[in-house]
Amino acid sequence: MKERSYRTLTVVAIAAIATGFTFAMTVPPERTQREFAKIMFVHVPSAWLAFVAFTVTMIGGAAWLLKKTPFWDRVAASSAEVGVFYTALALMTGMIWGYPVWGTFWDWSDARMMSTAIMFFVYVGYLALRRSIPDPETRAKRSAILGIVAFVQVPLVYFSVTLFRTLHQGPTVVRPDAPIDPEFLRALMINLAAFTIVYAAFMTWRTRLARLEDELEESEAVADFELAGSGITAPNLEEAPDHV
Amino acid sequence: MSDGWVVFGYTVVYGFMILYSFSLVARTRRVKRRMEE
Repeated sequence: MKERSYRTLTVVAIAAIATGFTFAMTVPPERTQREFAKIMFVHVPSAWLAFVAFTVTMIGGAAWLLKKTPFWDRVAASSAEVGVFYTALALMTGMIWGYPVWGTFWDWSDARMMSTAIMFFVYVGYLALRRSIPDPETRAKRSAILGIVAFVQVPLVYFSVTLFRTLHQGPTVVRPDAPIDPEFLRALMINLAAFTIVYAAFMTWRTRLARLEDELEESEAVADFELAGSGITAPNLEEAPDHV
Repeated sequence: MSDGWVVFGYTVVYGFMILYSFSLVARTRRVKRRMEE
């Protein structure tokens, strides 16, 4: 990908976010939550992109196990990092929304909050695991397995509001009995699209960084090997001086 | 009152997006510099 394409993607991502923000701010106040409901337009897309990112991590891990190409490992690792970022945003905006509406930043007995927090820490662990293994193949293999196993949390977090009746509200968009207001739905969908474009931009930049890191690691490994090789090479006795 | 929380929420989201973008740019530049060395 050329440098110009990266810049174009950046401009598109900024324009998408600006459009999403404009639509979010022009929505009228909600009947019960008033202006607080506008946090939904950044909270829901953040949570949604966290699910998308961890799904891509799982797919990348599975593809690496099948094909053993570094590209898929880089996709999985990059998506996990971006996913952790979006999960953190979802948690923070949830707390900011929760305090004025529920009267508390955090509820330890809430299924959605706790399962999301656990998912966040598991994927932080995924990133820590990657940093702890120096060998690229072992690192790719172990993180691929963890990425596939950890994916079980994604449906668990999504369905936690229907499986358990706790503080967090149930599904808002997919709800036939009480459909969301069309104006809210439009603003939400535009912000979902905008956040997805930003995810695509982050992924493009992060995978490029991962490729460069791999190249650097390879070049440093070659340099280290040559240094070690010269240090342990047996002396050439045939060229030794006669008086020794 | 409600506007304040909304402004805070959006500032957190967009602020961290900008910070993460800058961190990616900085990390990429650092790796490129190390490769040149």
